[in-house]
Amino acid sequence: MDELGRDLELQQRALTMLRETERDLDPQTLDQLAAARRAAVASADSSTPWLSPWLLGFGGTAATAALVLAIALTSVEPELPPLDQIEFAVAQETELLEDLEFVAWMMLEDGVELEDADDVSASS
Amino acid sequence: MGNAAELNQFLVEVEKRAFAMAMVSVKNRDDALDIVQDVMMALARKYAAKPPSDWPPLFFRMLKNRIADHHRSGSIRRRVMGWFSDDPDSDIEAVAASRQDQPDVQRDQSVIKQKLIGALSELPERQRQAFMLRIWAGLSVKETSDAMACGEGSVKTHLSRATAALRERLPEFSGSDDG
Repeated sequence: MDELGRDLELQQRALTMLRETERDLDPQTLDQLAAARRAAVASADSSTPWLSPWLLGFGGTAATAALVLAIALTSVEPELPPLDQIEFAVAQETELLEDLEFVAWMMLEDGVELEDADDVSASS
Repeated sequence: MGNAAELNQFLVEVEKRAFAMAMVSVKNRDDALDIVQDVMMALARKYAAKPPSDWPPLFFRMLKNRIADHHRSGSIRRRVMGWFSDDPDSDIEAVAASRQDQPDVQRDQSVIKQKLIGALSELPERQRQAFMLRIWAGLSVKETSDAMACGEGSVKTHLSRATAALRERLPEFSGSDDG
């Protein structure tokens, strides 16, 4: 066996024996180690915002919903009124314009008449 | 990203190994327990939110650093307090030979185990770190080099020297004649 092989064999045998040493620990030491472990995990519980799979799932879902909502809000086109309403509005506008033209014509006619009356009063 | 149950399971898997590694390094049961407790707490507080695959190198790197801190701070304390304490090797021997009331074959194994732990604890610090992180903790060469803050080539050199030193001190481990 070469030196590398002998090194690996020694390391493997040492590891096996050291692992046995771990199993030989007395009950009192094991109890103290378990108590230290529980204290450590409790300290992590109080100071670490654990992200559980449930919370990660919820977070993912919430993020997806927010993204969809944002896209929806920014991409929706303004809704057009129905065609009959448009036609009605146009008709109303047309009638209004016609009315305005009539009123303007009336005012023009009245103005003329007023001018005529002024002329009459001035001359009299 | 890990959760509390995964963190607990990870610590269950490494706590005994970490304690045994600390015992080999500091040779004192209470100090080893303190070190492992500190490292568990630091991992939980600082790195619990990391992916579980990141935990082993982080945990063993912190363990190595905490042991090194202990050696640095303890060298002065031992000089001052040494005459009050018992033999510092007594605890580690107690761990390695905790089953002395076993049949002869197992008692022989226990003696070999005790010799292995003694030889490992007497290695130079960097060699011991390389062996414990690479072989005992099972980190990759890259993870070990990160934990030791050195190059991968240095890890291989330290590990090779550690293995050679162990072979020299543990003739029972050489060859394959005794299975």
